[in-house]
Amino acid sequence: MSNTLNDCYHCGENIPADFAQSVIIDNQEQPMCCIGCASVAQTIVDNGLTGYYRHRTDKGAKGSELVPEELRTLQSYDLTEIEQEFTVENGELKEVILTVENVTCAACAWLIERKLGAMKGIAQSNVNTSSARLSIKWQHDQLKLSDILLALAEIGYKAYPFKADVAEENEVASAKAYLRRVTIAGLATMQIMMFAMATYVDMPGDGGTLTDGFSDYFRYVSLLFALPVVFYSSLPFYKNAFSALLAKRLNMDVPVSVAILLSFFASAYATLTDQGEVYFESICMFAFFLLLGRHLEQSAKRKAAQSSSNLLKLIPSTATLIEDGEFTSIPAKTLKLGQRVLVKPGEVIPCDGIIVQGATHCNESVLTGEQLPVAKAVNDWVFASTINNDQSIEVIVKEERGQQLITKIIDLQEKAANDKPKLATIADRLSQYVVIGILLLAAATYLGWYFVEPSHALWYSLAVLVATCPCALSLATPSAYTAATTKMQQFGLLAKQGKTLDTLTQIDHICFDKTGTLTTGLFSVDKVILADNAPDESEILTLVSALESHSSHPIAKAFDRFGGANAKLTDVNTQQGGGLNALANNKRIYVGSQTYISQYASISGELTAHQSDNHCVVIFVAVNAQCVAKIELSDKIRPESAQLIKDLHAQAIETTMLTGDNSDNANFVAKHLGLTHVKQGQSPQNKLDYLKTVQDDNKVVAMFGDGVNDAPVLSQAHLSFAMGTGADIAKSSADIVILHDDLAAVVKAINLAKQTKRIIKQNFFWALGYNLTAVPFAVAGYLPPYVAAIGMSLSSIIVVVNSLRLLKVK
Amino acid sequence: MNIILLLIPVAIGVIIVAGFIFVWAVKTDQFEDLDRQGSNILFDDDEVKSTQDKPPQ
Repeated sequence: MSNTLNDCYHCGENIPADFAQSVIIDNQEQPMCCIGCASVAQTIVDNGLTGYYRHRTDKGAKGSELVPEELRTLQSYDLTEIEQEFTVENGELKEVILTVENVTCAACAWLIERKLGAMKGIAQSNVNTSSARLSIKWQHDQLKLSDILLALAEIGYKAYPFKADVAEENEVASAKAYLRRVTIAGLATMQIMMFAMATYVDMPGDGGTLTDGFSDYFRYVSLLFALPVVFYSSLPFYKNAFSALLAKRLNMDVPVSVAILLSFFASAYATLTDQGEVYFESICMFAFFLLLGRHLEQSAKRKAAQSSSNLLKLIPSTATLIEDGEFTSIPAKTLKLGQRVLVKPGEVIPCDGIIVQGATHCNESVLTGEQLPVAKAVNDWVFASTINNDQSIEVIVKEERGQQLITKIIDLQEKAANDKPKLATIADRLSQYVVIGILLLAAATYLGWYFVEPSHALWYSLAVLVATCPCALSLATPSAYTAATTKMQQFGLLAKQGKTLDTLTQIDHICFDKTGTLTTGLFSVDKVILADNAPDESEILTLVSALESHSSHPIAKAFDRFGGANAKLTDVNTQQGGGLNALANNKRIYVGSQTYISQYASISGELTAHQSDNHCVVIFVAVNAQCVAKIELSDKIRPESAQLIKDLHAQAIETTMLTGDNSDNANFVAKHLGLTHVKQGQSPQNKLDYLKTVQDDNKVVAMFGDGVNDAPVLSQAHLSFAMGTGADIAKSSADIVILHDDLAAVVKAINLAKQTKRIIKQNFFWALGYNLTAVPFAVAGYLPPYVAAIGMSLSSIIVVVNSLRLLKVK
Repeated sequence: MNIILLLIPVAIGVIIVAGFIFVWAVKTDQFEDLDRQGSNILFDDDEVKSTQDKPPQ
């Protein structure tokens, strides 16, 4: 593997100039980019697992030390009530399945299994690299789950229990069933083809060597082999067809079932009565091709279901209960009305309740989508799932779990998911004509020949049935969807169902959430305005960065990249919601709001005068008693947003911003991006109502969102996109997850969807073309079995190869 | 040619056995992770004994 001298040997990132640590791996000194990577690499070496470096095909993930909150989360997995949710107890052993981030190749799997295998108490560990899952059996009296998770963290892998997507279990079982059905159909078809070949080459006109006895024998054996194909492998077709008919609809499985069953029984009759032609090989090949298509489609769906479950990490919700002056950690779901809980800074608030002691700021972005903390004092309500930013508070539980604000949003989402309008796909619409066509043609052929030559009637209509088998036709859409969803994944989009692509081409109107979707949801420095006597800009930013590294306020993160985290500061004082100050090189530095700074320094008019139009936050910096700079920060618009909106407008798609934000910033962002409509200050219910009115207008509506507050709308929209960094419920409600938050991928996806539609149309053209060409021959009674078999396979191969072209779309 | 009358039933038997073996393989998750097993053979099991305490069994 290539590795330049300037890159970290472990993760491949650039090494900062001021970092010089290395680890000796296989007797060679290798450079590292950070303490995290160095400690991961050292652990790997210490455990004698350097084989990982020799065999890996991808670089490792950047190592990072666990922060205290992560450690706390790990430990809370050990609480019995929480552990029970995702572990299975089996005598002395406990079993758990975890999802592991950054498992990229077989070497990762080996490394994890070796590391765990060396731990006392682990009975079995097994990594599945294609689903990124780790299953472990361990002796619970010797080892705690948190120890295992910690051991994984030491070698650079973060593992989590996860909520298996409801869809996943079904998809896995169904993918396995299809694998069995397709293989058995394949084995049987091969046998039948072998016998069929013998009869093909032995043309009657050639003075064939096959005596009647043998040809009968072959027919019976073929019948025998066709039995499992028709009565086991093809069952899903009949089941789907039957349930469609029950619902008074027609789908592609109806003509498929009709063709298989009628052709089989007619061929069986021909075998038993020793007359006419048999088409067992065609029927079986037909079933085999279709099952192969279904199998691939199912595997893609299963992969998507697994990937989307992997995104739903099960983070335990715990609460610190205060009872008789004692503090105990309990699962949040066991909290009762009136109980008193302690919430430390950085923790998730476990209940809806009222503060009885302390004052703090809460990040309520989960509910509102907005990052700026909200001030909370005694007698203020706080809400479950929001985050306590800066001070310990004590809260009395005031709402039952089912009445919490967050639960109400989830209920709204579930209701919306049931209301989700369904759009018929092209294939569904086409299938009714196919069914009618097949049945009419077969019946007409039978009747026609019945009057001309009754002995031919049954056999020629059998030939018509075989000729009209919608083999290529049934493969036309699934093969295209499967190829297109694979391609989508390469773009960084996780589509849970292939038919979302069909919807994507029909969109008339798209609604966007603002914070976290059109914008990054993170503050970043826009502009630094210096006072006359100030030091230079980079020096100020480094100082601010040093100071802000002591703050948990969301705007503090904006300064991370200015690299002040290692600077020496002493005597740090924080005023919540105001600012902070500290000593650096004998100078006192202040950073904070205008009111905060004016307590310590005078702010010159030139700094306050300048006012830009788009800012959420302005902070000031003072050194000793002198205000030296004003820094403007804003929630930055994603660079790809503008292009996306422009492209959508070019395609005559209307756009609306649906945001909970009520400030001028919403208008600024909307104007800047040129969105058609803006709806500000929307609650989840408002958003849902707006979407429904647009849908009532017969518009096909898509929604982009990332927060819990978007989940109901995401479920209701015809098509929905969730950001990969968004809330779990948003991701599970959405049809497509944008994995790397890259909106540019959506534009590519729309093009891909259009291309897919074109490919599907071409496929239909080919497939119908074959069927229509074959029909006249069948009606005329000239469709020998070998022609039917060749025609069917050729047309199917053309369709599949055509679909595969989608993998090359750029 | 008459041997075919015997060979074909034998072939049928073989296919049925193969079918059952396959169903068993699917049931025991042997097709779950096809990417990985191919490269598994590259990893040595015992290269580390000199530097590492023997893992407890």
